[in-house]
Amino acid sequence: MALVDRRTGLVETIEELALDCGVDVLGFGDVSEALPPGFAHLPVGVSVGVALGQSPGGPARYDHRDAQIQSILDEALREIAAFLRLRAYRYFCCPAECDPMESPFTARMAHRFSHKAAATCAGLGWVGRNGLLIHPELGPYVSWATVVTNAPLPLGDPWIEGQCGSCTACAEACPAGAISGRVWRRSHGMRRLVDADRCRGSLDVVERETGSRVCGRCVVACASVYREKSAVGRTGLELDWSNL
Amino acid sequence: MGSDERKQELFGKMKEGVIEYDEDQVVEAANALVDEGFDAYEGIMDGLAAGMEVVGELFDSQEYFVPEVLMCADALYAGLDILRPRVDMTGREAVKGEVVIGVVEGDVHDIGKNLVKMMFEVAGFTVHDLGADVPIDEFVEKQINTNSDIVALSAMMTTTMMGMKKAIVKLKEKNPDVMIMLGGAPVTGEIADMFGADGYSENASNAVSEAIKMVAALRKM
Repeated sequence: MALVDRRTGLVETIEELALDCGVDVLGFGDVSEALPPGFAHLPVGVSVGVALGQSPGGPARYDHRDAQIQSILDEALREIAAFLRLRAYRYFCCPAECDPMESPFTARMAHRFSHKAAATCAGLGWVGRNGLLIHPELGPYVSWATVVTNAPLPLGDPWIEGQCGSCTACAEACPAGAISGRVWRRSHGMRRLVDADRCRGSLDVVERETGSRVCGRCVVACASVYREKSAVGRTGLELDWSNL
Repeated sequence: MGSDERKQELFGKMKEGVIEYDEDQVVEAANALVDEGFDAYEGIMDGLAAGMEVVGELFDSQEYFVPEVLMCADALYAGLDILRPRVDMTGREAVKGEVVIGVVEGDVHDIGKNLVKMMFEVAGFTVHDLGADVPIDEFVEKQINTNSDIVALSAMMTTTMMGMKKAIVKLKEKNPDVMIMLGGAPVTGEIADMFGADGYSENASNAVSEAIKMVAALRKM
């Protein structure tokens, strides 16, 4: 365990642990409104994000299960959880991706918990028209995981409304016409942004054509907007911890 | 240190590891137990299951909630993975009974079901897991084929409840002695009575608590 022995501040240690694991974005938020039943005692979300791809704006092709990124996120969750345990706080890790067979019980809760909602609560981004979490600088190419806890962490200002402006690149790119074009509002939740049935239906076609159920055109279209806007990528990324 | 003293120390570590949802501690103690040649079955019952019993008490006293119980269950499972293949069944009654378990048709919420399943397995039952979204006839069919002692049905949505009633009627018709347990959110005690079921769990959280209590009872069998 890469724990520091001295009694450093909570925030500093979590930052250090996350950075050491290779996390690019970190934030704390009040997630009390986004929790499944039985989790009310863990109202603080620690969101960790890893930017996808080495090139500015991310890879040209979207891979929703990058093994290296998953392992960074898993490791970060483990380290943060171990530290919270050491400080006698309660916690629960919500992994980004999990195999229900490997972790028989905790993994079952993962799909009831929204990493995107947690990240908006922490002020790390908003939900785009495409239903993805959009980081102001990194765009949609970020993989997220969350630890919920009762530790007294400084909470970020939540995003409560999408900031896509007039951009509808994702809706135009969607082969299924599944993206309604509505702007996300926290009070309305995630529903009605993306027609999940249409999206799924289109994946059958994608699978027949490519042998894989990954479409990702809404991700790529959105990312290309961000690629144009700024040359921010995994390498040389200026970390913005100012919202902590 | 005497051998028995060492054994009790390892049981204590496993028990504490389950209570404190410390998977590493459970794994370490379970491996030591195996390496040092102690009885794996005793380890499961007096270490892991004993720990889960305390977890049940902490849950009842609202010291623990669903997330902690899930983590404790994972810690217990990590220990089981090590100990279960080492259980020596020779000279021991191999199974205490058979149970058919599943989530009724139209329902895929199966956390509680998996927890109950695990508890039955720990206690030495043979479990026939039908999975989730199970048509009611499959419960009846499986009970008849296996002559199981217990049928545990779970449903979380009101629309699936009538399915449970049909299943109970069919099961009792075929075998009046079979014990039927109900779990799931919309099932109240009154409805369970009305349906003629032998046991019920009030909601998902209670299903966890009931499952743990069941194991406490099973340990004494």
